[in-house]
Amino acid sequence: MHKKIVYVILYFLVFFSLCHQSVYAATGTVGITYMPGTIEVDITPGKHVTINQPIRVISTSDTTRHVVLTLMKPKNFKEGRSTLPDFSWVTFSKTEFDLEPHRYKEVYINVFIPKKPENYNGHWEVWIKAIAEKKSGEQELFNIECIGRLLINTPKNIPLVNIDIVRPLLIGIVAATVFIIGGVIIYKRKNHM
Amino acid sequence: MKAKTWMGVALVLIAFALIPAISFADTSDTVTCSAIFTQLGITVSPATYDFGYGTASQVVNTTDGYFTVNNTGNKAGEITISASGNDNWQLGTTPDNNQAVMKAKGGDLTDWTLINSDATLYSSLDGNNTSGHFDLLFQFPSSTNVYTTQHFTVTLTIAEA
Repeated sequence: MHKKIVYVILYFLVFFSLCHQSVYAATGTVGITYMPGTIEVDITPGKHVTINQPIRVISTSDTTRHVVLTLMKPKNFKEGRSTLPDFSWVTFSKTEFDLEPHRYKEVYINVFIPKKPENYNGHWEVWIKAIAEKKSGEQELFNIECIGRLLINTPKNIPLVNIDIVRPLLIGIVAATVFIIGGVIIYKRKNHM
Repeated sequence: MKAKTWMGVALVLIAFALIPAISFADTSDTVTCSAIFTQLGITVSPATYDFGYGTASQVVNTTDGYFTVNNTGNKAGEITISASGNDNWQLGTTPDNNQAVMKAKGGDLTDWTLINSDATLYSSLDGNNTSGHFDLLFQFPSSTNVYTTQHFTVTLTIAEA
């Protein structure tokens, strides 16, 4: 008698489990959220910079998705901006990763702009595309993409004197002055002038 | 004080001048960053659809805005749609050997529109979970030598409107 009851309970558990699977497959959702939509940074050429505001990619999917981050040429621009001259100046802390359902991951952006006169007074824009791909072998129909903007500004004026050499140069001048004055004093003493 | 002493002092000072020349050659920097906290987000459901079995050039399609797309961001977004085939069946503009056709309708696409390249489904769909609807049409190849189940990918993209 007890065995029959156990079998009946097991039967219903399996039945409802299968029903749930069927409904889940029919109503599954695919999606991601990307933030912030726009990041604007002021960067000095010649400096390696990691932007302290990460990109956050949040899964709103019912299945694990493979997320890929790429840069793309803007299809339209914020006012006064042009395409970033070289996309290799921007890299990510990670360019692809698996994103489990309803979890999030953060990615940091690294920027290095070469120190050249033409790279000053820049007002550039590049788009960051986060693609949530279906994993290999999955039968889902949709890939999802979110596109954010990265705006990069560089200083207007090219520095006339590189600040990096100002301090050693001053110390060098002081050293040379001490050397010359010392030499003059010693010379005068020796010659009783 | 002798000349040698003065020269020693001067050399020490020059050495101190050279050390900072190396150490001051910094390559990292803090950065001024302003982030505009717009949030971009999109969901689509259902995630799958089975167009079933078909004959040469047969057309099958969903109806009544079968698919729902949600702008889960906090700002209006432009939503584009495109589709791609696979190694066995490509997508094109007309049915051909191992070439199928896929179209979408809904939102700004008032008629069935080819989506083998980007098409604008919504030029501006409000944020905060505003939803839109669309249908998909699939036309089988005119001929094929592949008789197994084929999977296609439809890509939905959201960008700031």
